[in-house]
Parts: sequence; structure tokens; C-alpha cells
Amino acid sequence: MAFLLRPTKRKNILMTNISKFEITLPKGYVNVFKYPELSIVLATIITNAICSYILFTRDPNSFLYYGDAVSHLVIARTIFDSILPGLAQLGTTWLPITHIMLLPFVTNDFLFHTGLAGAIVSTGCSAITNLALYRIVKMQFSSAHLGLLASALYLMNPSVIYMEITPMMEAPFMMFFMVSVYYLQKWWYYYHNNIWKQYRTLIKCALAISAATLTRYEGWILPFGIMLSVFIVMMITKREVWRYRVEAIMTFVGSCSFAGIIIWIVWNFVTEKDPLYFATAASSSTYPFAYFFKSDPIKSFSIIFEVAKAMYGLPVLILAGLGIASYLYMNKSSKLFPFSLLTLVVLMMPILFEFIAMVQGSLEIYPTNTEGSWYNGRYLIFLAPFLIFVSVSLVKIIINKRKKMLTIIAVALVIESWMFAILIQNLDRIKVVAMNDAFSELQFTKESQMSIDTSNALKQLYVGGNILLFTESQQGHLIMLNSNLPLKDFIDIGSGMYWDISKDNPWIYGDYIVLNEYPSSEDKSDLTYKAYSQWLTSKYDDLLTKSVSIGNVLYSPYHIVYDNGFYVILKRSYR
Amino acid sequence: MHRRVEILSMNLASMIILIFAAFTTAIFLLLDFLLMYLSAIIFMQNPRLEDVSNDEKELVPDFKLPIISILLPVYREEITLPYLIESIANSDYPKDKLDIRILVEHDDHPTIKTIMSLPYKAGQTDDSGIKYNLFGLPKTIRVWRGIDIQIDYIYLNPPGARTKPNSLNKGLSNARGSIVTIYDAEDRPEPDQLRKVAVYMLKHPEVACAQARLSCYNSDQSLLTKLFSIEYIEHFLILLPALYSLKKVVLLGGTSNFIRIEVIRNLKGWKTDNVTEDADLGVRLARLGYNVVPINSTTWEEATPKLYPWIRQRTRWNKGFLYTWSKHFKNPMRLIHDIGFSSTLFLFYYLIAPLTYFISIIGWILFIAYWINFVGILSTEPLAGWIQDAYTANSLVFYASILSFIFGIVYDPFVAAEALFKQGDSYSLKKVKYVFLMPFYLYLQILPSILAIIELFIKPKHWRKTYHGFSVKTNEEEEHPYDKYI
Repeated sequence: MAFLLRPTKRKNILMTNISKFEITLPKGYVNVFKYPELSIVLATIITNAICSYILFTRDPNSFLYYGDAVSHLVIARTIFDSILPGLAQLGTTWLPITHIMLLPFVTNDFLFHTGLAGAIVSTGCSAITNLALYRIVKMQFSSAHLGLLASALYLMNPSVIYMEITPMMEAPFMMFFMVSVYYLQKWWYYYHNNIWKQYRTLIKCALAISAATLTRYEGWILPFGIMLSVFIVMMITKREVWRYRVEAIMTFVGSCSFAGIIIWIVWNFVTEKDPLYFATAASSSTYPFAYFFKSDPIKSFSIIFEVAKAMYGLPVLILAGLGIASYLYMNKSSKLFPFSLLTLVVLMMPILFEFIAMVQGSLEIYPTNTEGSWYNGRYLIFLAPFLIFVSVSLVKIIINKRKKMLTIIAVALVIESWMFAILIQNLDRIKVVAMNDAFSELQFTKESQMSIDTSNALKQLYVGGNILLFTESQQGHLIMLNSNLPLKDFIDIGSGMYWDISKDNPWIYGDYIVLNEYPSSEDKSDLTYKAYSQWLTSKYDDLLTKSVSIGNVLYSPYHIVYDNGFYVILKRSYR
Repeated sequence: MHRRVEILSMNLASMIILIFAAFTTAIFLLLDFLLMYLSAIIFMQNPRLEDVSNDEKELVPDFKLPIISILLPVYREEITLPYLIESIANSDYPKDKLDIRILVEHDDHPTIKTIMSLPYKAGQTDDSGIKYNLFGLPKTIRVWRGIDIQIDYIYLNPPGARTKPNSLNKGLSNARGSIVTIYDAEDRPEPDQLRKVAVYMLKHPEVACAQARLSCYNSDQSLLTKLFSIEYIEHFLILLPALYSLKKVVLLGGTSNFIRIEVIRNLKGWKTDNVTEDADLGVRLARLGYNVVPINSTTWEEATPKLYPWIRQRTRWNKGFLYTWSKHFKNPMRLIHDIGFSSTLFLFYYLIAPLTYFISIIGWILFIAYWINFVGILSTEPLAGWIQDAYTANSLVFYASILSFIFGIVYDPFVAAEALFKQGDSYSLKKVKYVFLMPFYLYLQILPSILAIIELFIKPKHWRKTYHGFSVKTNEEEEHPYDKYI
């Protein structure tokens, strides 16, 4: 079949013998070229470990800058350490895979309280992501050396590194996304007439996509994108004449790639009796500035470009532009061009999702009052594999010229451009976009500090009993994590029947109440606030003055034992 | 507090049953999943469906080929029998090396009538192709390609003993071939099957038995036949070759198994008290250390397209499996000694499957009833109330039910898809869209499983006849001869 993209065929078109550039190492050194995949995994782990160590020694809370990170740790922990332990603690707002992956590590108190549990999970994911990137590049350019270069570049951006050592969903998502891209590319690259071999590759892609859809909502575009790619490749590029082959692949692989979404909808239905609860619940994010970008693709694009510039530096973006052109030029033949275009589109899919979401008005990335700070700027780390891929393709086109000096210059230029960011930003929490993102809202930071103070006070005041959290969910999670108290002693919105009873009759279970007196406007959109707001307004005095009789039991009122202006801690007057 | 008191006061026995049911379900399904998927994976790494190339087949001259005794046990198969005879006659095997024996009950007049009509169907114009015995019944008939077929009549008393193994033993006593095989009336073996197996067994004297693949030729007739054929592809393309690769006990199908005559005589034929004599034979062969291989040749057969005959068929199979289990697991240590631990484990699980279906459906009912009630679609009280109490009292029950449900939903479509893509032809790929119905097909087994468990105690040796010929087109105005059984 003339149109099959077998490696031998591509070799004639693209591959160049670059063995003459191999480096000869003296005896006693480990040759990374001999064990490239192991080297990549080890290099990723070591890099992340070093960065974790630096950040941790600089500030033990380094992994917990994001409010979301704290919530992920707490949610994972509450699955077994909660007043009502169980899978229901996974909730319906955040997708569950990250919490499930964190589960074995949050059992350890030290790993849980420091957030290192997340560093371990994210580092593992990062290693696999990097491996997938290596394999994609190696397959595309028939060169392990270029694969190694791509992997090295992946470890050179501080924002990417930070997001891959924190307990956030970005690292697991990147892993599943890159694994799915790898298998998709493997499928069309070694397109096989044997349908079973096609199936074996695509099913892995579909399962990775399914996992991605259960990790971040950005992943929900992937099943559509991938199935469209499969259809285009099979029907148009490969001109499959047997309809049943296409039908079988599309049916089964398609269904499997949508399985994650279906599972999530079913989960929402069985736990909240509303299949779209995750989208409609008031606890879902609100976007006060979204109107700014809505239906304005140019504004949205310019913001994304600005953040990308801040995160990667202008040299990388210029190189990427050249890289895209060179990649498409290298594959300009009619047989290869559609695949090249598909590769680029697939690699850009998560960022395309962000772009579409901004234009559609359900996402916002915007500059905050702080200099160089971008709210949600961290999402631009999803662009890293794409930028690396096109940067490497620029090196590839120069390698094809067979000029040793030019190649060395190109490699040096690419590495230098990528190192630019790390040299300038240097893990500085103000300069690194992903770290600064966590500090983007001053008010939020202040509230977080108040939460930490409250949790410290709670730690000292607590002598036993249940603690009722009348606070916004994320701040509540921060108090839970920072107080070092067993999570089973807390009652919050995830506590099922205990919460249902306590929100109206706090006296029954609440020996302590942590109450957010001055909720921010963002807090007011939170479901928890809506449930407890009555205690801030009409019934606040009841808590302090009124004895309540329920059944035959007389419950005493509370008294204030701590007040920092944001939070008060109430303690039951007597038992 | 009230709630807790209520929970504590619930019937302890029912709670224990619920916990047991949900857990057993989960464990069985987990084991099923692991076994099937591991076998699938192993099969993918090491495909071991024995085969003979065309060149190898042609290299062996006709005179070196062994005589094959083909036993055709039939009862009320007047519709399907001619097709079987025609397909055997179309075989490329030399006719003088065929010892074809129709095993028919002496009073099965419709079938005997059909047998007598075969020479005419084969193109003869007079009765010179039929030789009669002393009772005026046909003794031999001459059909297509001038092949002579022997008719063996079964006289057994009482009529309840009219079972396939009884017929087979009768046929075995008269067989003159060195290899014996069985075809059911609804079978259509591939034309080169006999030669392929004969050459393979000539080349491999250590092999005692070869099992050909079974597939359904009427797979598009109804949804049931589609699912039936997917099940067969899973079984013969994934499970058996995987077991063979692992050198584990290879379970035999009811037909198209080729056994050396000295082996089957050494085993004293088929067990007449077992309604799945094939399963029993497979275990006995394994226990005595005989080699059984799956071979890459297909016999096409009819899948029952309607629910009632399907239930009858599955009831017999399930009863037979349980019976075989009860016989061979009387002394499990001995069985482990004979076939090894992993084979014993697999066999235990496979033969006990009817019980698994029964148990797992309880888990499913628990789970579905709980959620239906929870979501509020339908009030399933009082069942849901008890279940909720059990779940609240012990969250392990809840998780076991979830496990059971998820495995039930997930594993079978995956294994089925694996098999269908492995086969990769239009026949199988067209069925991929139905794999998501396989869990429901699996749970359709519940009724035959219950019937089988009941029958096992009431009439363990009763043979529920599976009626065939539903895929054969009859005149629309004419009543189908088997309609009265449905």
C-alpha cells in the first residue's frame, strides 16, 4: 500500500542519519542514549525532587499556594478520614481521578499536611508525560536524540515544573492527554491493515482520553477531537473502503473515549439526582470578568498570547512560529500534510478548549492588580508540549541540511530560548506565572492568611467534639488541613446527613463552630454560604444567647473563644 | 439516634445474606474478569490456535489419511439433517476413508423418513442407493459424491435414557475409524476440516484430541443470535486458545471434537449420566494427561434465535456443568494432583458459573433497587428500605455492589471486543456495536441457571432437547415444525 506511513518510507523523506553527532562519553559515565526512556524518567524525578526541595526549604507551604491544591488533598483524605467516610466524599464539582490518585499518599500525615503527597503524584505523572513526549517526537522525527532534546526542554520551564509538583489536576491531566496523543499518533503513523492491531492501539488512546475527561473538564473536548481525527484518517486519508471496519472502530473506541463523561454524568445523577449537577450547581466557578472576552476571539487570543509570553518568553514563541512553518514545510507532500496538521491540532487541543471557553464566556484568564500576575495563567502550561514539539521540528529541518555547525547552533538556540524563562524567573513566586497565579487575588491571600490563623487558634482551643464549618468550602478545607486535627471531627458540606441537620440545628452535633463573618462576594456564590447565611443575619444572636430544646435534650448556646475579624470560633457553653 | 436503633434492629440474618451476596458477587465477577482478561492478554501475546497450511495438507497423499468415524447423533432433526449430510459430502476428504454413522432412535420416524429421502435429494431417481435391514429400516444410504452412510438404530429402554452420550456410545461400538468425531445435525463443517485435522493428528501423534472452532451461520437472524455468536467467538478465539497456551484444561465443545479412537475407548466412551458429556470428557482427558488442542477450522452451526429454545439449551448446559462440577470436585485434592492448582481453580470457576449468575444477579438487584429508590424514580419499598439499611450499616456491602455492577458492565464488552477485533472479518466486526449488550446477555443466563439448579435436584439426567432448524426457511403459510415446542 503506497500510502502507508511506515517508518522505512518516512526515512526516505524525513530521516537523516544523525549518528555522526553522537557524543562519545568516557568510561564510567552512564550513557543516556543507551537507556533514553529510563534516563527521562530519572531526570524528571530528579528535577522535580530538586525543585520540590528548594521550594519546600524556602517555604514549607510552597505546594499549598493554590486553594484548589488544599481542597484536592482534603477531599482525598476525607474518603477515609471523615465523619462520613466513603467514595461520596469525591463530590460532584471536581473530577475525581486526581483525588483517587492522591488517596494512597494522603494516608500519611506528613505527606498530607505538607502537600508532598501531591508532589509525589504529580512527579509520577510528569515522568510519564515526558516519556510520552519523547516517544511522540522520536516517532515523528525518527530520532531518539530529538526526543531527548524535547524531554530536556520539558524540564526547563519553571511554571511547568511548579504545576508538576503541586497537588493540582494539571499534571495528571497532562499525563493522560499526552498518553492519548502518543497512541493516536502511533495508530496513524504505523497504520496497520490488521484491524486488531489498530484496535489495540486506539483502545489505549480511548482509555487515556476517558481518564483525561475524568481529570479536567478541558479533557471533554478530547473525545470529540480524537474521534474526528480517527474518522478523517480512516475515511479520507487512508480511504478505508470497508465501512464495517470504520464503524467497528468508531463504535467501540468512540464509546470507550466517552466513557469518562458518561461515568461522571451517572455519578452526578446517582449522588445528586441531577446528571448535570457539576455544571449547574452554584458551587461551580463564577466568572466576573468573562463578559470581557465573550464573543471576542481577538481579545481572548491576545490574552492567551500575553500569558504565553510571560510564561515561556518571547524567544520561545518566535521559535515556535518558525517551528510550525518548518514542520509543515517538511511534511508538505500531500500524503503527509494532513497528518502533520492533525498532529499540531491535537497537541493544541487543551489550549483550544481554553480559547473556545473564553470566547464562549465560561472561562477567564486576566491580568490581576499584581504586576505580572495572571489569574488562571497556569492553564498555559498545556501549551508546553506543542511549543516543544514545534521547537524541535525547527532543529529537525536544520539537521536535514546535514551541516554539523548549523545543527549545533540550532540546538543551542532552542535550549537557550527555553532556558531563558528559568534563568529569568528562577522559581521566584512572583515571576513564575503558575506560582503567581496562586497569589493573584490579594483579598484571597488575606482571607487565606486569616484561615491559617483561625486553624492555628482552633488547634490550641480544641479539646474534643465536632467542629462545624460555616465557611466557604476552600477556606474550610484550608482550616481542616492546617489545624492538624483529625478530619473526622469536622462537619462541612460534604458530611451528608450531619451537615443537613447541622445547617439548621448546629447545636445537635457542633461542639465548635467556625464562622466566616465577612464573606467575600465570591464566597457568597458558594453553596456552603447559602446554607449557613441565616446564621450571619437573622439568627446570629440565637447562637450566643438561646438555649435550644430538641426532643428531650436541652442544648446550651455558644460563646466566642476566638475572633480575628474574618472568622470567629464559637464553643458550646457547656455540655 | 432513631436511625441507628432502626438499623440495629433490622433482621441480622437478612443483612448477613445481603453482605454475603454482594461480596460473593463482587469476588466472582472480579475473578471472571481477571480470568477472561488475563486469558485474552496471554492469547494476544502467544496465539496458539493450531493450524495446518494448505501445502502441508496437500502433501499428505490420500492413502496415508486415517479413516475418520463421523458420529451424527440425531433426534427429531428432519429439517437440518440434509444440510449436514450435504456439507460433509462436500468435504475434500477421500470418501473411502469416511465412516459416517447416523445415530437415530428406532422410533424417530420423521428423521428416518428424512434419512430415506436423502439419496433422492442427492440426485438419485430410484431407491438403489438405500439398503435395508431385517426390520425394513434403511441400513445404508448413498448420498452426494457416492458416499455411503451407515444408519445405527438406538434401542433403549426406558425412553428417558434417550440422550446424546447413549447414542454416541452405540456409534463408538460400531466405529471403524482411528479418529472419531461428532457433528450435531445443525452443523456445517468447513470442507477442508476433516483433512486439516487428520493431517494435524498424523503429524502430532502426542495429540489425543483436537477441537475445531464453532461459529454461528445465522448470527444475523435475531439479537439473540448476534449475542450468541459473540459469545462463541469469545470462547473459541480467546478462552480456549489461552487455556491451551497456558497448558491448562481445554474444555471441549459439544461437536467437532476429533478424538483418537483408542483414547475414547480407553475412557470407556461418554458418560451417559451427564447432560454435558463434552465438558465431562474434557476434564477426564485432562485428568489422564491427554493433550487437547484447539484447531483453526470452523464448524458453522445454528444459534437458537428464540428465547425459549435458548433457555432450554442453557438449562441443560448449566445443569451439566454443575453436575460435572459435583462429580469431579468430590475429591478436590485429587483433582489438583491430576491437573494442577490453577487448572482446578479455573475449572471450579467455569463449572460453577450458573451459580455465579444466580449470585451476581442478586448483587445487581440490590444495587439497582437501591439507586432507583435513592434517585426517586420509583419507590422499591420494602426492598430498597432493607438494602439501604444494609448499606448504611455496613458500607462494605455498598462497595461490593458497586464493584459487582461495574465489573458486570465493563468486562464482558471488553473481552468480546477483543475477540471480535481479533477475528477482524466483516462477520465479526459488524457485531462490535452489540458488545455493549453482552452484560445483559450474561444476565439473561439467570433463568436457565435457576432452572438448572432446580433440575439438578429433581431430574439430573433429564436431557432437554434443543430444537434446531429455525434458520431454515419454510413456506410462510406452512407451520414451522418446531412452532409447537415454543
